[in-house]
Amino acid sequence: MKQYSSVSALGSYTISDCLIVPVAPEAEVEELQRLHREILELVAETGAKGVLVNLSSVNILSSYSFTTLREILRGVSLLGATGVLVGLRPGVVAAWVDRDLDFSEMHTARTMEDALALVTTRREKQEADAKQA
Amino acid sequence: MTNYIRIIDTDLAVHVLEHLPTPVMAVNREMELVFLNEAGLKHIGRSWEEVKGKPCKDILQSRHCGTSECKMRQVMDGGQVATVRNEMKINGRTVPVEYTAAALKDQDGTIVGGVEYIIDITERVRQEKKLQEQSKTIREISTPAIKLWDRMVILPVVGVVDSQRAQQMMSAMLQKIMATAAKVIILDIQGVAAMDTAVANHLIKIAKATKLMGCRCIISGITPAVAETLVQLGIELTDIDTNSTLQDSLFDAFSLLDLTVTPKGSKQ
Repeated sequence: MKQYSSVSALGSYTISDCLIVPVAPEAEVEELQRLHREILELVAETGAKGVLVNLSSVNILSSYSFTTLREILRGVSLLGATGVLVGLRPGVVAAWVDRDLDFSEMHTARTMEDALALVTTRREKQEADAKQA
Repeated sequence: MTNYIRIIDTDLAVHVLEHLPTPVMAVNREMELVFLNEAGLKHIGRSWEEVKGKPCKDILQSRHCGTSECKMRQVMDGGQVATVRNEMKINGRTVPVEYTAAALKDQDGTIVGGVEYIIDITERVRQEKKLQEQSKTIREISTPAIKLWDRMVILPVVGVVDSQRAQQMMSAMLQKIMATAAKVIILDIQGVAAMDTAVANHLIKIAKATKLMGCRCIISGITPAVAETLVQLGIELTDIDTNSTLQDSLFDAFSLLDLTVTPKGSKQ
């Protein structure tokens, strides 16, 4: 497995098998779509087991952005990694809930630490399942 | 109208107007002051000689002066008699007032100017502010999000849950989760007066929101009656952990945080 510790053009980096992706405060759909491509490429390249999308500085996210984020998480999951949205802000959450969007399959965490723990537990569970099978 | 004026002694009428404890003002079509009674002069602290014939906006210095909002201008252009709120500047101090403007007409019915009376509503505004503050306090009291433990928040819900209250609960809760980085939140609905589809939907929404915040939501205090209603209404709370007592919820919350409560002295 290749370890990628250098910071990419969009500011994402890998720590202990997890790709950490910061999202800029005023990120628009186009930027998220750029991120989408880069994240999938990096996950395939580094074999990262988790993708932590840090949204803690983002105050506004449109429904389009939401769809893009969901696509990112789905793509990541197809590559065998766990995607987690970290630090969603109250305003964003309230807007999403009001719009009745479907986020049943999304993983979320309050802090980076929680997200890392979530990825680790899911990975351990997967490994245990694999052993049983 | 003109008949009355003929019967009433004009001097007496002016005398009455002068002694009316409310500022009364009249202007001509050019918005120049043609009359201001004693109360009005006292209010602005000037003598009649100083203000006579001056444009009224220079004297009153209100927020509406010179804008299209000026009721005096509106009634002179044929508008309806109206009472509106305004703010006047008197000796550098802003005073909230309410004024009523009406058009002044001559015998033929042509509008020759306007008359208005001004009421100081400082006390009323103060009362209103107080009332607003009080209702805000009550709202805040009714949605307390309490940090119970490190990374654990409890939100006791008492009384009636309507959409406005649910909104407040949601925002109070989300802010608290944000501030304390809570991992578990207990929503205690023991004190909720009645459960129906609307209330259940609000609760589900809140639970979904907590999940997005990266936090687990446990609903406690589900009474047998509430459980029965929920089942009869066909509402599924599958994604949400529910308990009948706060004690059980607390226990679940501790286990989610990898904590155990043991009696003092017992060996683990």
